Amino acid sequence: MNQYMLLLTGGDFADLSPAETQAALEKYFAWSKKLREENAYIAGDELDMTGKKIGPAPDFAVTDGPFAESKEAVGGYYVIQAESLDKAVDISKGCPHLLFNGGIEVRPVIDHSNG
Amino acid sequence: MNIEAEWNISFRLEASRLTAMMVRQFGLPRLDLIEDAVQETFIRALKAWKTDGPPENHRSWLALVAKRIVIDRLRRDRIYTALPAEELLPCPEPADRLAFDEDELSLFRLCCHPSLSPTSQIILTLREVGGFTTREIAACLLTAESTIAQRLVRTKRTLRTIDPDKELGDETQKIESFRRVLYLMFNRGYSFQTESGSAEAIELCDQAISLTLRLSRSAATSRPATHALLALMYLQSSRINSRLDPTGACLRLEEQDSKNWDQTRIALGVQALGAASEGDKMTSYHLEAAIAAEYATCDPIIGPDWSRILTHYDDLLNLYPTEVVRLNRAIVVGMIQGPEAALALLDKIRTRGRLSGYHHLESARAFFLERSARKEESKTALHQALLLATHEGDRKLLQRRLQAVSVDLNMN
Repeated sequence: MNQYMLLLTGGDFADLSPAETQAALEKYFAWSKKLREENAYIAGDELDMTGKKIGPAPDFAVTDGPFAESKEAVGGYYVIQAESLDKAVDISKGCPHLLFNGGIEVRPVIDHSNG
Repeated sequence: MNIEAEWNISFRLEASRLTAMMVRQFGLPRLDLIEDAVQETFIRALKAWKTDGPPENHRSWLALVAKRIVIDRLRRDRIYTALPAEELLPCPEPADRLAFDEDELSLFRLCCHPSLSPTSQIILTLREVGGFTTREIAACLLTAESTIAQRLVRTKRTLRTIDPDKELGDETQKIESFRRVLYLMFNRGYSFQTESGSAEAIELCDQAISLTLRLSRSAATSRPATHALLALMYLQSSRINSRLDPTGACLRLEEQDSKNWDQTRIALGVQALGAASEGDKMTSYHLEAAIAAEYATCDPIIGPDWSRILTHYDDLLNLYPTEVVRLNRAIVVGMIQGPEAALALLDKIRTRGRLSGYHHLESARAFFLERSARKEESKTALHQALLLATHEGDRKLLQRRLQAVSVDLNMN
């Protein structure tokens, strides 16, 4: 099994009513639950849009977030396990994020632990 | 997966609770800001809860986040400097989640304020108490979103100029104003459904039912008349999906397939009617619900008990001596005593002329004229009704009847 990181970008929720937000939440939660049941889930969470960006040494120039300005900003992530990149992409296609105008970057996590 | 079942959360319910709480804390003039903050709160909840579900004290979580968003925005605008204690106050789950709390009732009271027009009351109630967005209100009122948005702006402006405690009358009158708005909301949805056959119209009826249910579960507003209104809505809406044929034409009661009636709603309606009979005061809601119950629970082969229905109409006429009640009563009289008796009553109504623009009068006349074999006159009355009817479902039914009468006439 290989691990993949799913980077969730964009996503448009501003126009959702409380009832629709709830319906969206139900979709996401059901998907997370399914990942767990299928033993694909490793981790996942939201990323705050604030934060800091650090430049290279020797200056270590620290600049402020937010990173939300960009439409491609990463707002959340999942780490899943799957047999192949294709499988990981298939799994990701079920993620409700894609229904809300969001995108997903699927990136293989390279395992260096065995040399 | 259904959150409401699994976690016992309804964002729509929480929306009205949060709005009401913050209107008390930050004041009515900040209603727009509060509405935005409530919406933002749920989006944050979506992001925060989507993987692991909500925290155990999710109501406190929502309340705190909503409050923080409002304070942040006020600070940004340099309006608000003193900061209230922000610790996560315990927000216990109420004994009955559906019951309105005090804040919600005072917000609801503002929405029903007599200085607002009935339509504005409905719109504002849907927005503030029902947790609907402008777009959702527009859909269920079959109106453009921009129209609703403008109307909301105007209504809120009016709201700022009124004294919330004035003109409200005593406690009974206040509760009646809640019921009146919900009754209008329900009727609007019920008649829109004839017009368009649309699912959104049913949504409006269902929203009226769920708010009435909440009123009936709140100690301050749980009165026999509230239960009667709830019964009326359940019973009427039990037929909502069988009222139209596949072409969108209205079906008459005897043409509907009673197997399609929603038996759960009928049972809930009958139950609510039981709770309504505890008081000693008879209201129009009681009588209308009793009439609806006669239809909904009748034996499909024998048909409704017309003489009991007539008794209810007699009582209703005593309470509300209006022409519309007289018209409905005349139809029932016709079902018992025959078409001539009905036509005599209908002609009196017609002579008085107050219902001259109401197609149901001509439509009822046509029905009884046909039954007394006066087909030519029946045809004229149907033509007249068609000129007056505006709803598509009503028009299709009338056209169908007109065709049938014309065929009969040609055969003879």
